[in-house]
Amino acid sequence: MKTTFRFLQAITFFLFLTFLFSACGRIPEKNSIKTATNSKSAVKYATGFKIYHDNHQTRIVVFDPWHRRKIMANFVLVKGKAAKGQIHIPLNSVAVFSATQLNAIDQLGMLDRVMGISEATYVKNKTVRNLFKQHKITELAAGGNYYVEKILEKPPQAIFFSPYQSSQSLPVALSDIQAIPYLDFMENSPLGRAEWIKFTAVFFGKEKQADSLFRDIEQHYLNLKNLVGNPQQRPTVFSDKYFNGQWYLPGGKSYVARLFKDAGADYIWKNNPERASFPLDFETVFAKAQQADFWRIVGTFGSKASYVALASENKLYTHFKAFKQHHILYCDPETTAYFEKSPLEPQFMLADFIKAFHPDLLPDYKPHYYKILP
Amino acid sequence: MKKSRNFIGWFVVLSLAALVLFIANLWFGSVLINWGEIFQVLFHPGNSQSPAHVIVISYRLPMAVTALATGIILSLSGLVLQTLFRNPLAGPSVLGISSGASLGVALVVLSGGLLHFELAASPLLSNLTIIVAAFAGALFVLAIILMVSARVGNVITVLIIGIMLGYAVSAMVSVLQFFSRSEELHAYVLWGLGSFSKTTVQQSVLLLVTAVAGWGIVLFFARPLNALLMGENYARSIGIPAQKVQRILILLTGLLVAIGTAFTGPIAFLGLAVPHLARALFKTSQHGILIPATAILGADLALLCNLIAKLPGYDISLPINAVTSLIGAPVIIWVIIKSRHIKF
Repeated sequence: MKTTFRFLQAITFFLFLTFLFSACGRIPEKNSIKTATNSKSAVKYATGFKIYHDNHQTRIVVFDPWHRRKIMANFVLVKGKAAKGQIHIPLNSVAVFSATQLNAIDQLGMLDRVMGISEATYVKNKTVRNLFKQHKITELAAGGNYYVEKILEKPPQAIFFSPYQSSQSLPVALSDIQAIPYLDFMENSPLGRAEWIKFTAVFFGKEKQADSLFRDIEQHYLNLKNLVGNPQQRPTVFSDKYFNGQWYLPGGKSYVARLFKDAGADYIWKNNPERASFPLDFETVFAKAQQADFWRIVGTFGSKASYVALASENKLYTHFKAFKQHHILYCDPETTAYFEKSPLEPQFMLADFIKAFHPDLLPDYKPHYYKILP
Repeated sequence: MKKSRNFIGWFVVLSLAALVLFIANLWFGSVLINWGEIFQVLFHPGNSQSPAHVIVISYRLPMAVTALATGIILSLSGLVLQTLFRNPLAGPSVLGISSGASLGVALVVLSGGLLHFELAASPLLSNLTIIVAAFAGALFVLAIILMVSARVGNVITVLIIGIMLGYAVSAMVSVLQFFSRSEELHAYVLWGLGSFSKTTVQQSVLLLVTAVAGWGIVLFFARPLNALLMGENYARSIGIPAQKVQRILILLTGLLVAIGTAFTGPIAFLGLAVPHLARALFKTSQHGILIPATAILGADLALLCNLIAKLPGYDISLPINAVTSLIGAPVIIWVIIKSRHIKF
């Protein structure tokens, strides 16, 4: 009895200590800075960040995509002398851990400011590859691990990194380096995802250029969307494959679902409330999508994709109407650099889809990412 | 006399349960198909393209057969290993065989990041590659264990070495995971969750034939197993070549587990739990009874777990391992509490 009491006492004390330390360690929330100012944000589609211009400084607010009302980071950028807590722009030496953002920086002509990247083996951008070969760019992270000592040896002014729900910050040892979250992949509108080029541009003083680049993308996208209008015939479409007992489908509020809608198709799970992917049982997918007109698949077969390869992966696929009619919209992420380039080219993805769903609207168009498998 | 009639009664009940559960596995799923339609699909297959036909024949049937076969394979392996090592905690995963299969799959799925090649993006990464890789990995670990057992001869030493090998192999897998890309990791984690739905009809039948054949062979060893339960010396004293029998049975169970795991991914707890359940129900340690009892109970439990995992009527399904563990753990606890000490 006595030992039990002792034990409970010890546990209580331990819990108390844990609580105490966790309370001490808590960083004061950054929400204290007011978001509402007189100036208007120059961001139209993206929901993950806002840009405000006040007098001589630019303020950027990044929202926590997992708790929409929370602010994840707040930056004050100045062109002149930076006070404590401010960032002097343009930045001259940065590490960029998202291949999509590297592509945006390339379009802004600022690749010479990049000194470090992650996952060098998988970066497709030619300029970056060359700079990497010439040792002007080093690999500073791979496989989800930061090469802390290598980064500290020659620290960049800032690190652009992609936070995930489970790991939202850089290692503690890197706390002296300005960490800037880059969350384009959490946007669920195609134009919103592309608009993150504005976010990148501010740090290099290239806002005007980004605005004009984005305006072109936007124009192109909206023209295509208007071209489709509200068609009487919307072909039905579903997506992805069955793997090990689960069929992951894009949510009804996801990026892909939005592209389907804008391209004049009827996504079978358009009423699903998810923003990310969600799993279903094979039977459910089969019962609902068997008669669908189109089937979108990204990856896994490389350039040798074929109906035979698909059937050999799982014979059940051959029972879908889209399979029988040879209506599979396939994208090979290797040859197209899909994951790296497509976020900044939503207009091409949209056009690819329109070409498949309503071929008469774009008779001479040559697809960039998605092609109907012959 | 009364006792043997008791056994027969249990066997009838368990076999009937297996039959009912098998039919339930065909009947229930995410999509509701009425009984008449199922009957038509099974016995008057006219339109082989109707959704009901595809779902029942190409999806539910191989899944149910695979669950049945895997249940038999894993439970029997568990029984044999527990007797061989005279250890209540022995099971298919203990000898490192399951981990070996995991290593094989990890090498194929995860090595893209390390070896700089694109397996994930090639048609090679089909289910067949995974099956072959799992099989090769399991055989690799098994070969080491057999080599060791030929040298040391002491089963407990072999058991410990098996456990150590399992750790080493798991560590290699985590190193591979560390260097792999997120989509590869995703693919590997999904395999690791285990599933009865990765087989075609032909593969599932093959698995069932393997299971039944394994059952027959193990039954052939019922007497030596009874003797081994009393210790190696006792077995030798009544003229059973203990070491030879041990080696053959390790190879046999290893092969069975490798084949099962290759097709389904690692399935937790069945191999460990079912033999205890069989001992508790039949209250005997005679392998002539225990072997068929374990096999049928294993089939029952696997089919039941699969049925629960399918969450009939819902659009989603649960990972099978979550269900087998959730059912397996309480079974073990119940058996331990009920019998106070685990008997053999």
